[in-house]
Amino acid sequence: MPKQLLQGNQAIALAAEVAGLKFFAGYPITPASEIIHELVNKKHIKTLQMEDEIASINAVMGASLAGVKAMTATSGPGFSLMQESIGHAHMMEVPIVIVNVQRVGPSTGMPTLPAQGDVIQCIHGSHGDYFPIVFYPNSVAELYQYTIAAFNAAEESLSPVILLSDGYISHLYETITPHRDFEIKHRTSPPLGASNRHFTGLSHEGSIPKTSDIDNYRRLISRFQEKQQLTAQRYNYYEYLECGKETDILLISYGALSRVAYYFKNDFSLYRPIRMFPVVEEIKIIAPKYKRIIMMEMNTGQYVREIERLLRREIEFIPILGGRIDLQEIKQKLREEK
Amino acid sequence: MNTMPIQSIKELTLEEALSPGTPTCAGCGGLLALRHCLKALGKKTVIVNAAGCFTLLAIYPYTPFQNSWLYTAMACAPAGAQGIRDALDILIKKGRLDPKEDLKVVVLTGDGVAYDIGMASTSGALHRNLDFYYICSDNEAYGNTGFQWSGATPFGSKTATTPVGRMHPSGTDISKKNLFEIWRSHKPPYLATISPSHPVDLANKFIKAEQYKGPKLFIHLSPCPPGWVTDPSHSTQLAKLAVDTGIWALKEAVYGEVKHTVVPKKFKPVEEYLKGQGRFAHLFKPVRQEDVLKKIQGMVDQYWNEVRDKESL
Repeated sequence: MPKQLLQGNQAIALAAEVAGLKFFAGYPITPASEIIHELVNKKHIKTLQMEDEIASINAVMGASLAGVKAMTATSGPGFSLMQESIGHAHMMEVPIVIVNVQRVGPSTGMPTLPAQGDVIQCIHGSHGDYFPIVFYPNSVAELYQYTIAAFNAAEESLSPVILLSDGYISHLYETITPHRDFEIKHRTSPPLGASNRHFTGLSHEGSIPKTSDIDNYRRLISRFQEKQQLTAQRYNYYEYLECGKETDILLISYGALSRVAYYFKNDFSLYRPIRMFPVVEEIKIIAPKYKRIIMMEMNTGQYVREIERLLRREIEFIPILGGRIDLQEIKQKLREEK
Repeated sequence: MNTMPIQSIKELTLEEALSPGTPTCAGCGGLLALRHCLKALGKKTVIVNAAGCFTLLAIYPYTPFQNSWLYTAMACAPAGAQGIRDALDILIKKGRLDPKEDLKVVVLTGDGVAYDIGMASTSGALHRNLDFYYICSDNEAYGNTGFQWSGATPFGSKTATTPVGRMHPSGTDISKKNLFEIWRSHKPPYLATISPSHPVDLANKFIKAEQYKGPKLFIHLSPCPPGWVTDPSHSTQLAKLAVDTGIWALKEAVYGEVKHTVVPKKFKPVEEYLKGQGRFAHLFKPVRQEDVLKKIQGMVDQYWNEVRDKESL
């Protein structure tokens, strides 16, 4: 397999093709537009530019239910518009992939500097309870690898899987070897048209809406939760680098920021979740080895609460806001924490 | 209120409502049209701007706008305008705002918003007969994000999402939406197409629009040098060519009644307009796509033949 110099967004497009993408619908938005720019040139993928993001995700859901692998890509503002339909896709158990290349928010923010402000939106953006699988790679090679994982996880869980990226990672150029020898999962449920099936956003049992059956609703939600947990266990991705020297500090970061964290690998042990949700539970085994845990995020503390909740202990937090990742500034802040 | 139409460019006001020095691209046709529009509207306005190229202008205090300005999400500028108009009316009714200090509410969007994502919100405002102005700057693609296809992209144009290839030799293979007719079907009091190359026609349309209460809508075709791949100094000339070839028909509709305001005595062939633009370069090189060129000319001819029949020009 020859090496290729690829941009992060190009790697996502290429991986989607390898994973069997057949239908893409999207709407232009920086820093995610290169994905659709790439896909319009692919011969065997139907790529549509829609009138907005709501149309995009609904077209993708339609395509998926009719039996082809489908994906959409956007950034924060578009991701916000898609939220109602994401909940809908969970309720109808539609396997799709949604790429969100994060930028500074809220609203237009600082167009189009990178951020990590959409982490909690991934799991709580739509109304009601749903349990998405979310991946967040930190390199071009990983974007390639986890785009394929996202497609597989979607087909296995029959649910929308979110691939998070950010303006840095997606616009980064790196040399990667785009392997094609991945296992590709295929859907087990019949497509729309194979039988007389009804899909509904109402609480249901099979194809039958059950709007006032409370016990059925409880069963449905716990089935969703179990299903997502079970699938997620097969995608237990994280990175843990134990420090060569004796240290009692664990530094947690993810996405673009985790690349800066590598600089401190001789001072601290490093932990990086790749599957962001459901939260990888291995941190429970790793954390007790360290007296202190410091976490960095490009938001005001979204994921740190998830980790704190899981570990039931306090974590020191460093926010890196405004899209600037400055090594000197981070060093200074870590020194203050020390 | 001046309701008399002007005859020459010399009668245009010298007072500018848009200050010089903006971050738009060199030769932006939309900016020139906007300058004339704001001149015609005066300074007592509030701009409601949906995300697009023109939102780059207003970075306070370094803004060329001399009035208040509100940014809205892409989909809902007319909804923002509704809130402002109603609030101003409430303040006037309560005596907290002198009617002389009332503001014209002006929605400013690009074609991506007007033709695609914002259509529902505009339809709602038209249906409610909201008293506002809507200026659509149509550069026939999403210029601000890298020139992707929009509902306004014409047949034959190359964009970032409609590249030229063996499967799509013409680039975009569907025609531009007819926004004028979509809006006209709501029968708003005043609706017009304008061009930065025809400032007298533009000014007269704003003068005429002022007498109506309700939606007053304007669409201008604005050359976009980076997207159209043209020389920035050719923008006005290109805008004029669009009118002279019949591609961009200058017209107005009062409560749905259409009248063409500028009809070239002799139409130039559309090729003259197309060949100067990089986005249409594939129609001429490496192989001249005669069928595509004929189709474009045919669409323009058909349009004007129908106009001649209806308006007995």
